[in-house]
Amino acid sequence: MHVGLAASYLALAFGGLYFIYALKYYASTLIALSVLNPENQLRGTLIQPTELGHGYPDQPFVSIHLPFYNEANVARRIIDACIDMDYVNYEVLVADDSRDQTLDALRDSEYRISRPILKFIHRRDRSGFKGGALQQALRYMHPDAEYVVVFDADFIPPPDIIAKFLSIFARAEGRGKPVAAVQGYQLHYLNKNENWLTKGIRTEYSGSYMVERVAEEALGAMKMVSGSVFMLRADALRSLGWTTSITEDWELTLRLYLEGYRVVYTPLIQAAAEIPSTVSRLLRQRMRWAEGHTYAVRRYFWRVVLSTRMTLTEKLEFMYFAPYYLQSLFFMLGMALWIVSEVYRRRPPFWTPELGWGLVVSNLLAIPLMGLAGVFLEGDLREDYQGVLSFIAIGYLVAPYQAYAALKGLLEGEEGTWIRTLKTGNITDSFIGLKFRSLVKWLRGLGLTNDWGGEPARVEAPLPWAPVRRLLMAACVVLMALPFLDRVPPLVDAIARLLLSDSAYAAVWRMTIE
Amino acid sequence: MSKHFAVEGGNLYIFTTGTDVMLNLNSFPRELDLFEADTSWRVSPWVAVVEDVLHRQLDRAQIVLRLHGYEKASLPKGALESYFVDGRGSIIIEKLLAGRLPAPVISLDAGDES
Repeated sequence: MHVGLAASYLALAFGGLYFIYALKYYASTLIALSVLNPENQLRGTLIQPTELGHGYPDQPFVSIHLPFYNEANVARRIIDACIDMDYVNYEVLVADDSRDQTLDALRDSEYRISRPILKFIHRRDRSGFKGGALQQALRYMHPDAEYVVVFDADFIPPPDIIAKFLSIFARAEGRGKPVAAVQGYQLHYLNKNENWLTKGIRTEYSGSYMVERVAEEALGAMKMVSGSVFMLRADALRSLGWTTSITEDWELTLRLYLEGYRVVYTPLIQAAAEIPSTVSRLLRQRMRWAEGHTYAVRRYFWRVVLSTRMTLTEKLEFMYFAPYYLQSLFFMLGMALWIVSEVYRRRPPFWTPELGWGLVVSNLLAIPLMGLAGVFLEGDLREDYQGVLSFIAIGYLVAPYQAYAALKGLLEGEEGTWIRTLKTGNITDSFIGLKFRSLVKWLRGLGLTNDWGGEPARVEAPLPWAPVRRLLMAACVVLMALPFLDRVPPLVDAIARLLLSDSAYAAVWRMTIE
Repeated sequence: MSKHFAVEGGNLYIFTTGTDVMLNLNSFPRELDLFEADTSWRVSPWVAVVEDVLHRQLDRAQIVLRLHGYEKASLPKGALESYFVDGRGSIIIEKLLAGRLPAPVISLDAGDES
């Protein structure tokens, strides 16, 4: 076979494979735009938090676990946020592996007299990484604990977050499979305007948390416990425990589903967080995710496929998610091979330029459009739309590294090591949206200052909801159909000929009408 | 109300009951390496635990603890661990202390023992 022709077939295969992902992204965008309204209320779903929890008499005991590793820049911020919850019956447990000044915060005698109960556990080594630290927290957790909440050190949870998590558990109880965990939105926002990278990652998270996961929830698909901002049932966690994987959250997710539990996601429980602000930090983080994710997929693949406790939809989501960190590589390989085939001018007989370009454009815009929809749904489109360009660049930047790490995870005998993502404690942004105002008030109450300089941020007139929403939905539909648009005129023509021009068919048509 | 320490199973337990507040962990010299990075330790509002404490650390730690009014006690490790986890064993700890400790030593600076 000619090189050009082989390249064209391979380009089509890789492009088609990525197009399956793209279709899901477009469908997710359509679903999220359909179920979320301008007040960010979720129509017809169970994942709308309520105000339950303020002073209700039988508060279940909640244990907040904070895994630390050299968090000197943010340690006091997260501890102070966690001891200031609008909730009474809880404890805060710091599982610390630090070697730096984080220990100064842990030794602070002020924390001995705080309410709620505050426990610090310091390990002299990092055995088991974050999972190992969280297992220590589990070991020393209060025996009355019914729920566990986990936050990474760079997050700032709002005071009502425990009550909101509990309200989701209460609403989901008795409906379908038992809920083991409720995952909230990791609102990567605090330093979003630090540089081009943070702007892009902000958009990426928005697409993932406001669109993709909302659609997964609406479809009843498998949802991930994502490392931070989630509440777990303590009995489920006690029975399963944490593992020492470098993606302990993904492995826990798989084990929960294999035990017959499910995870519920809601974008309306949010905790603000810091965004990795350098390329090296981002690459290290994404490579760890890719390696650990793929390693766990390899270990659990057949158990998931053969599980009798998982639904078909959950298994399909797992199958979709299995090669997740290779998808960018599919796209890049597809593009490169398509260029080769164009140079040689060799194509399969059914190939048309419209199909090729349609596939490229549709694949290229799927994730950016999801990001745009995400920031639109958060009411930040006017401010954050530039992040989409950075987001596209980041996609290309991380793809080869992620692909390498994913292949490593697929082939290696033992999982690699955990490389931490440094948290700087930088805050560059105010919160403009209505849903963030209570958080802003609370942050100010804590004495945290940032670039807003004491003056409230200027609130611009909101974008007209309905037209922008319709525009985004129309863009989704057009882009989904784009690779096949050249097939539409011949199809319409054929139908027209069939029904109107050909006398025999026209007669049949008229008879049918009459 | 009491302030005590115990050495059980190789661990040093520093604990308080009632309204007594836990000793400031910075009271220990840094070179003693008790509440530092290279040691496994934990602390709750009532109990501080240093794991696998060495003799040389223990000798000097006892001096610091006694200077701050802490008395040595001998209690089951399980009771101390349980007290660390839930803090509910305050009464049990006090009963255990009452049963096992020697008669209280009256110090000259107590002030009200005339």
